Amino acid sequence: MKPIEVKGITKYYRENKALDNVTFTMEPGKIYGLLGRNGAGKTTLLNLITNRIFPSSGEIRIGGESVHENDSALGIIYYMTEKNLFPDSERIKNIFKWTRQFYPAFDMDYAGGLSDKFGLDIKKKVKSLSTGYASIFKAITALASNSDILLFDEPILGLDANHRDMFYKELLASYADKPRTIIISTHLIEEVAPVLEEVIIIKEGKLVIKQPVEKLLAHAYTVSGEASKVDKYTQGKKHTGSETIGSLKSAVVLEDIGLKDKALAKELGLKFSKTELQKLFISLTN
Amino acid sequence: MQLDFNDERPIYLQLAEVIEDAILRGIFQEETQIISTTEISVKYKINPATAGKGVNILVDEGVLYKKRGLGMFVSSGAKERILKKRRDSFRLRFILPLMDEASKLSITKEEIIAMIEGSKGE
Amino acid sequence: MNTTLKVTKYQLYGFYKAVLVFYAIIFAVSLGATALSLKASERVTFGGLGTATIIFISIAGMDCFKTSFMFMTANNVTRRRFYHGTLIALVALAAFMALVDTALNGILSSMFRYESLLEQLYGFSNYPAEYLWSFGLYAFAGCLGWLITMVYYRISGPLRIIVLVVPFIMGIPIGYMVRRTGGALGRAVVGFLDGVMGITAGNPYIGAFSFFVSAAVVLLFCFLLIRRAPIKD
Repeated sequence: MKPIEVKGITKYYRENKALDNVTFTMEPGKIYGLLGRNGAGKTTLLNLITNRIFPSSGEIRIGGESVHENDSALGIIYYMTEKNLFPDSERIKNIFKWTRQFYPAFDMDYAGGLSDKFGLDIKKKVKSLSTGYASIFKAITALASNSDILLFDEPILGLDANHRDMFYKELLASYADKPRTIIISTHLIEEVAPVLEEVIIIKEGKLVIKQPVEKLLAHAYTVSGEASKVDKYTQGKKHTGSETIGSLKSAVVLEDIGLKDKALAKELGLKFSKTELQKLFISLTN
Repeated sequence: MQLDFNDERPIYLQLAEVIEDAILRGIFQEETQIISTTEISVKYKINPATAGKGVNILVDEGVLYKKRGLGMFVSSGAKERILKKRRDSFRLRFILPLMDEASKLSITKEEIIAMIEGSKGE
Repeated sequence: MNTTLKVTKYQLYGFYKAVLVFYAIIFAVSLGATALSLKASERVTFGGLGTATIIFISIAGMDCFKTSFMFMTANNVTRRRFYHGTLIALVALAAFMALVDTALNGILSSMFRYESLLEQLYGFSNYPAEYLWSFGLYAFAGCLGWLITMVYYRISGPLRIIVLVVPFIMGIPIGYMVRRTGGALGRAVVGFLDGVMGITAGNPYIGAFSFFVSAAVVLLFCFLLIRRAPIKD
């Protein structure tokens, strides 16, 4: 299993800076969430990792080797794109067959079994699939590829609640069966949050944070109460985003709660509560 | 069993409590095997590392133990241990918040006791 | 099988249905022509089926890029592998179609007055010359088709329109030049083509050689274009 190193990656589309000097390393064998709002640069980053586009500067390495036109590095990744890259008029079962040509570990029986579970008719042509079933088809292909590194770009797009539930379960079952590096890029965080071990949050092309979910949440909390008192409390503390409803206000504080803080909150009549990843994400990216 | 992700505590703590509840209710008997971390992960759609963390808390507390190559088992005396721990924290987790809320609402101790008497058997 | 050959296999899979349909039509036309020549009282001359193959293979060349590049990219095939695999597939297709056409020419000329492209140009034909010359020509046509679609893929927006329009606009200054030089330019071009094709020399092997060289040059451009081709949204 190989780590993915993103080293000083900057990507321009003409004058538009999509990624700005992004550096981080993903250790192998974890489930990562690549989170960011629409247009934050998530897809650009995934496209760069798989050498589908080229960085303006910087380098991406897998197992210490640059991914640039590198067969062995790229061969261990399967990347489920949001955009359809499959030939429209081809039948699903043929796509499976051709995928096996390029991913010899592709599990035909597993792909067939998953298709049955999700109700995907593999005799259908790619172009006849609805958005939801296109996502299902692409996700199944990715899971069945048995690759060491799986990248999912917005995998649950158009899926109903039942199918989303099934997707997460199958993903986790497959991960338990064969631990590997999984990156899920999405702007829909609430559901995916418990599945993730670490999150990478990007905002306007910059890396905001890369941390284990537990750690991130353990060192952040929400404080709420009367607006003026919340302001008084958060003064001098590292905090982001706040919500105001009438005279009540809540703010996310990115620090541990100390004894002094507890005393101060009690004095001001403020309440602490756990911050959900979703809330934290919103406050970090707003 | 239910894990509530809107609960304010970390998921692994909730998971540990869910397993404890199952042992208290006799769903998991002492010296029998419980479901694996993998099964927990898939069933509740949580990361296996989180599931492992929850299970490990109980291993550290001596409620569960690992049999190499077989899986996770409930220790003998686990129920007793959980009961003791839960009893110890009962005052902190339930009585103190109850008294706090009651004083805000000016409910007297006698009224609380009456309510408890009235709720028995419900 | 290595990845390059798997790309080749995929490309040939893409070609094979179209090739079947194409030859079904060609055979039908040939049968019709045979029937016509048997009925006709006068001698009927018929020829140049190779032109259809040239058109077919250049379209095949144009069609072998975008969809398959996307699909191969979905399978994380590198550009280099895709390039080599596609190159082999196009050349193999040209070799195969040249073989079928050479055989077809032989059959048709044995039945009635049929003239292949080669015969029309050089006035004679034999199997090795027919095969090599068609092979070279088809390879060139296929690669040229590929180059055109690659150029179109790599450029974007207003440049696309310019590239489409330029060949027509170029006609004006070229026409002017031809008139100004009193036909000398035209004669020079014809002379050049005659030379590289070996027509006056009566040597189709010179022509075949020129086709292969041109195909190689076109392929070099394709390589330069694909080296940094991104996946587009």
